[in-house]
Amino acid sequence: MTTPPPDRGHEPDEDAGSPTGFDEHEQRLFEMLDEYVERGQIDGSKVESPENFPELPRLLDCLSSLESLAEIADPHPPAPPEFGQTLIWDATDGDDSPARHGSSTFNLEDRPFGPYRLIEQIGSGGMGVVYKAEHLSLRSVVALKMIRSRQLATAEEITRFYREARAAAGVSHPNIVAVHDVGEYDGHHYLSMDYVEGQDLASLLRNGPLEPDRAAEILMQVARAADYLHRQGVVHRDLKPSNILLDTDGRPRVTDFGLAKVFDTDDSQTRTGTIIGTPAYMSPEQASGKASAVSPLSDVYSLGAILYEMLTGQPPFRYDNPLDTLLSVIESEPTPPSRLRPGIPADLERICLTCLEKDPERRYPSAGALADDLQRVIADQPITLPATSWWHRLARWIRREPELVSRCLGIIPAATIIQVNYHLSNDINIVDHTLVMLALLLWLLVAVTLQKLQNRLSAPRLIPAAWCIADATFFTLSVAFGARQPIELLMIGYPALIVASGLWFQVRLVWLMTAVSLVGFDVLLLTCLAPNTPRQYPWMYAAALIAIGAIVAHQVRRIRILSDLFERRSG
Amino acid sequence: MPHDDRSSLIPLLDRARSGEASARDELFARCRNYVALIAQTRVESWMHAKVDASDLVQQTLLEAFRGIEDFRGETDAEWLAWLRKILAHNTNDFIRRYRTDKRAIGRERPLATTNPDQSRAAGIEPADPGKTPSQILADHERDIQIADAIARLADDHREVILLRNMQRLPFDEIARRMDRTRPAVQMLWMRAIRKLEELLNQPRS
Repeated sequence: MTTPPPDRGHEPDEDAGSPTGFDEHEQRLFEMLDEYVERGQIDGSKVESPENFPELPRLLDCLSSLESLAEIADPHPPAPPEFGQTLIWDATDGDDSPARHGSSTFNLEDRPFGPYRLIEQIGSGGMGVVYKAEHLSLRSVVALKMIRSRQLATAEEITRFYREARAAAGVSHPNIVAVHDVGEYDGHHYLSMDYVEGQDLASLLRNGPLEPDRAAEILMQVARAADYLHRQGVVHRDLKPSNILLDTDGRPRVTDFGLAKVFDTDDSQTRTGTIIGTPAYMSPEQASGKASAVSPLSDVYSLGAILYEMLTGQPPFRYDNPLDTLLSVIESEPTPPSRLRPGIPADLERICLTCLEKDPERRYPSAGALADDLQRVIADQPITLPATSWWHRLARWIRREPELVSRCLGIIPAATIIQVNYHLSNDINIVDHTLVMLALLLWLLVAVTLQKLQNRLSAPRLIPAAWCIADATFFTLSVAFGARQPIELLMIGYPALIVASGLWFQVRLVWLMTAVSLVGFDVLLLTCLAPNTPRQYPWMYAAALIAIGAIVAHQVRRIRILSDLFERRSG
Repeated sequence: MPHDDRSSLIPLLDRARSGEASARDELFARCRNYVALIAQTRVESWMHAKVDASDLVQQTLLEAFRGIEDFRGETDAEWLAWLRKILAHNTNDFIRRYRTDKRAIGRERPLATTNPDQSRAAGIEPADPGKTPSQILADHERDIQIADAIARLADDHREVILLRNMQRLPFDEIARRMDRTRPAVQMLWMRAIRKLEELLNQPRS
């Protein structure tokens, strides 16, 4: 699909004269095939009734195969040589010289490119460079996306690219950036699309969150567009703020649909900049690499993630490294938007969290249903979502605040046992008992406070360290105040704390926990260890704590190495 | 020997390199139409005339056959690039000789009489694999299929495809060369494309 060499001198109009023997149908077919050979494409709008030409796709496929072969056969269409002139055939460079198929996508501005003239570069990403361009004969302005050659390395990928582009060319919706043309020129595969003046949602969100009404309005239109795509059999797979363009009227328009599928060997490769390897808008089924599980409901998840970011200014899960993000997308529950930013309508929050459900079955059944509910929110009508069951709320809370939940699961049963035991036995000092219960209560309160702090938009980085110190301190206090001799069996708490600290996946936190545990143990040793304990036992116990700390730290380090490897590969 | 048109050449190539004669024969049989099509296209678009390039094809395949131990590539792409490289050298010679001979009619000698020891292809390393986009992008198996299908077309169908699609000539020029009217070659071309598509999608019996 190269441009015709200049010496062709062929005017498509000359073909208008009906060749004898062609009937009208054949004449039309001939014109389309000829146009395809001349321009490397067919203007889809000119094909009035594609059903009349069932063989057309196969014929075009055949022509494009011929074209690629012609390119190999005749890499340098020569100027007519004079008779007897020295041949300038450079035999050492007879094939596919890089100069002709230059892979550089730079410095192409204001240059002809196939049927287009490039005007200026308007964007670039992992997939390729986007130019504002003008169609030479139609004079229409388009956005021309050149696909980086490394993104289409195999013939299979190219076939997929063209198949997806053809599917994309078949859709038309006011909230979708239409694809006009796909082709190859000078070794670059390209797509031409509507040129949308305005900005993308990602750059709008850099100025902070949107008003809830505006967010609902934008997402409703995007959801309608997604629903339309789904009904055409296209799953977007990569819905994110930078793929949503806002034109000058503020109307959102979805772009790049279906392309993620072409490049989905590792989706993070299509991302650039700050979110390399952090699948912030990806559904759990995509994040865990279950390509077969990706469905329109994955797009519904992404729509929820976009709504979340429009409401709060940040995506539901965003961490510095892919391991944490991946684990969160798969395991944790996002903080409810209203906790990050007050004034978000409860219905909108429920809609958002429903989209973000881990289990696709629990999300909206379709993007259309989501759009309907958003429309109701905008019109101040009640939404259709059933009230969330208490059981489901509990499950969400456990996923959302596992730190607090796990403390509760430790502290509350312990307090209950102590309380029951207090009533059963009559030799327990009321003061001692009260002190233990106070320590446990205080521990719970600190846990709640830390969880609240952690939920805040800009959670202090020291929160995990605070968890470690609080746990070791309150455990030591409870034992010191309340326990009666012998206390040795209760010492199991320290190893448990050290192992649990490994769940933060930070080596320094493991060592911190080991250190505070040693201090706590030391306190107990000095205050309430049985005087007849053999002298070497405490030393052995301390050494065992250090050994446990070392083992856990080593495991965490290993996991970090794997995580870094993942980050490097995907970056 | 029946074979699967879509399969890779590599197993065949490995067997050929290990000295299996029947594999060599089959390998070259499968590449012949491809080399012939490229040779024909190159020579004719240079000479602006219909040229019999079968000697050139013969010479190229012969050199490739002799030099197969020197080929160190691992992929279909490298193998076909290697063939094209040998072809490019020979095309240069061929065109020079062809022009000279045209000026001195009667001195025409078949290519095969040139000293095979001077074969320039023997020492050629395979082209750097897939470094330019067009090499990366090409579907080599498809190319071979197309070349085979073109070889099976009727003569005038093959010629019109060579002129229109391979040499990219305008219909006026094609009409002049084929000595027919322009509408006639246009119709011929469309039939040729339809026939080609039929051959491609109906597997060889």
